[in-house]
Amino acid sequence: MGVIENAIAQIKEQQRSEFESGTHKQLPRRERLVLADHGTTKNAANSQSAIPPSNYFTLPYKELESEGMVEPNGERNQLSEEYRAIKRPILSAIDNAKHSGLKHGNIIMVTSSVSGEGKTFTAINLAISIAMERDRTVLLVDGDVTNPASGEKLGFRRTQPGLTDVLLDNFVNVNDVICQSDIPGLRFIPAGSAAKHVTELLSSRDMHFMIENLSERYKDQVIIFDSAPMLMTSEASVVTDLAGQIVFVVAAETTTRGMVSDSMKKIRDHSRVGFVLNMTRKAQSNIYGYGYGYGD
Amino acid sequence: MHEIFDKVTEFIWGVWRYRWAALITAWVLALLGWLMIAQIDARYPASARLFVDTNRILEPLLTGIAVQPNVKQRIALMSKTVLSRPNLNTLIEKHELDKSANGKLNRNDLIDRLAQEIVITDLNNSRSIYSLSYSHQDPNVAKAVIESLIEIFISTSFDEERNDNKSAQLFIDKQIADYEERLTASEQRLADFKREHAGTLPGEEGGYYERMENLVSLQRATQLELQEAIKQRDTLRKKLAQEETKISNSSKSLSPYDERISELQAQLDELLVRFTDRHPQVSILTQSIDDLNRKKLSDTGANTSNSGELLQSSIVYQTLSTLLAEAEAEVSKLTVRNASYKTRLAELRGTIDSIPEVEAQLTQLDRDYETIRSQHETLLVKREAARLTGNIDSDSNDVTIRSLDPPFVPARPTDPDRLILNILTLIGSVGVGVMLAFFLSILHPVFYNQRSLEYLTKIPVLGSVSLSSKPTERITSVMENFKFSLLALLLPVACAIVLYVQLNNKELYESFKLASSSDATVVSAN
Repeated sequence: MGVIENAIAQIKEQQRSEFESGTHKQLPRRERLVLADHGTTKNAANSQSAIPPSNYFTLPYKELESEGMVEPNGERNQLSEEYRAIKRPILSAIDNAKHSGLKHGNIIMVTSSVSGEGKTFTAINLAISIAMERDRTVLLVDGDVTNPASGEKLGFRRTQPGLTDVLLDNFVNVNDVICQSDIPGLRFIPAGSAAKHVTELLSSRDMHFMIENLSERYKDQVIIFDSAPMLMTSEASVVTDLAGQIVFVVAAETTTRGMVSDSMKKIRDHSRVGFVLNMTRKAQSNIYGYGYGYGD
Repeated sequence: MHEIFDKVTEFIWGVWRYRWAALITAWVLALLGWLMIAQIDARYPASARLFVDTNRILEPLLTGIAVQPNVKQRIALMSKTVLSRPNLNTLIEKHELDKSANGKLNRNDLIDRLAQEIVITDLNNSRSIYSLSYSHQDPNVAKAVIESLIEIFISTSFDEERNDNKSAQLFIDKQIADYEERLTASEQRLADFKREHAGTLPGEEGGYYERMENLVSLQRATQLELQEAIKQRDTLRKKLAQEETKISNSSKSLSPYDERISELQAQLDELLVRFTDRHPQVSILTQSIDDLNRKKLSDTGANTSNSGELLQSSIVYQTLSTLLAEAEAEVSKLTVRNASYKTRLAELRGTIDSIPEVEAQLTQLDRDYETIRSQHETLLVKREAARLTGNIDSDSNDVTIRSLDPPFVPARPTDPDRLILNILTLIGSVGVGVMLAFFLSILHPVFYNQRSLEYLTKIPVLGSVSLSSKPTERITSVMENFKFSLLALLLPVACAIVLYVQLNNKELYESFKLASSSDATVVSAN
């Protein structure tokens, strides 16, 4: 072997040993941001070695139910039907991304005009609903750093390392922060510790690279980004450029038309936006005969 | 249809969104309204209707003579008469209307106010039915006032009728007197005029021009007669002269001188052929002829009486001279007549200007007189009619004022009707509240359904999620709704309470009145 070959082998050896030993060395930047390559995410999910054991979590079903959120193993009810209806256009948009030229179609940003309209509610329910799909996995990212509601609802503390840590801390890589839930298809990245200049963080090239990687590497992975409200901060408007699809949550009878139009002004490309009307009266629902089912 | 349904549901939800604002507004307005209504003094309106036949008397009298008086004026007059200051003063004294919680009121002001408050109208513009009305806090007082008013009304209008008739009669009398004056004046004028122009007035011959024509024809006739008479006379004179010469010629004998004269004359003629009359022979001859003629004449003179006697004895000559005398007399007579006609004609022509004027004036005076006389006659007839009618009335027992509705006072003070006002306040405040909520909902429009969201933003709606709430949330919302409905239902209940107090418990109701206002016209219900 020549000198060059020697050098390459040495480096590989070094990497492997570091990896096996589990020590956190300062990795080159780009590498930190990249998921470990496991073919499909299913394999990645099943591969125990990729994810540290501390990052396993079970969904707090009782709390979720008390919040009125959908239960993954529950029988067919109105809420789950509604989310089934909502996710279909999203998923078909992902599948048609090649034809329609949609970039990063599998990155879905969930936002709204102001807080309290049901972004987190929608994001979690959508994640759970998509995770039920046989051929897809979901990566739910809590993008609302100042108010990490998703993490709280799922039972995480604020101190849990997450998104901001990956972007700021050189010792943290993506794989360290991914948390696997008890639903096989559902994984979660918390928001991370509080940071200054969150908007700038989210608009940095590192963020771009990470998101692109997440998007391109695994075509069957759906990334759901629970972001901050559009009118409250500037973080959300930055993320709209990253995401391929935007799910805009509107609270019925509460959000005024003015708020919606102001938010729309901040989004450049309206063709990627889809509304979800939340908190409608039961009578308004377009679901017919949700009681239809086996053995009724 | 769908849009209308959507709009209605949007309205309802919009109001529901701001229901608390609506409720609070309604409560505040209702309370304020009830308080304000409690401040109003309610009065009892007493009213009565009368039937007054004011037509019968006046109409037949005045048709053809006078213009019928305006109905509105009649009412105004009636009101003024009935509500005259003395009458009102009597009313005030009788019913103690000037007593109030704050002592005696200004009498003048009270009189003015009463004059406005007591209303006398003719219902439906009828000339015969009048209604009187008056409101007062004390129903008994109101009723008593109306009764007194009716008495005053009856006596006044009765007098008025009498007065009407009397005044109609007086009017006619006055007119008659007036006309009589004018009549006598006109007669006097006529007489004076006739006297003035006695000479120039038209006689039996008729008018001026007739007279003129008459005169002209007479004068012409006379002139013709005159000419005839003159001709006749001349003819007679000639005849007479002829007769004279005939007689004198027949009785005349030839004198000796005649022969000598004719001889000399022949000689003269011969000489004259040769010589002029300056010739001495001619002159001597001429001289001798003259001498002979002179001698002849003196001879003839001696024969005149002879011929005169002959004349006398000629009958023809006598008849002719008689006729001549008559003809001459006729001529002179006609001449005189002709002359007199001519002068009269000249005179008439002179007065050509003044006579027609006089005639015209006379006609006018006659006409005036005629008019006045006929009008005078008519008035005399009317006066008799008036007297008859007046007698009928005073003799008959026909009462021309009847009471249709006796004075009536309702049990509740209805002027204004506070019951209705209170209910209206409730409805009004609720309405205003709803309107306010609606207005607020329009100011902050929201999305109620997927359809409107999609329609307004033109961005696809992925789906809608129905509201699912935690049990605690649900309980909270139920509690809130319960509170709201409770408060909402309390509002009509409060209204019912207010009405109950108003109707049954006067003292309590009146006690809500704030400090009495300055003009102190309220008689306290206590």
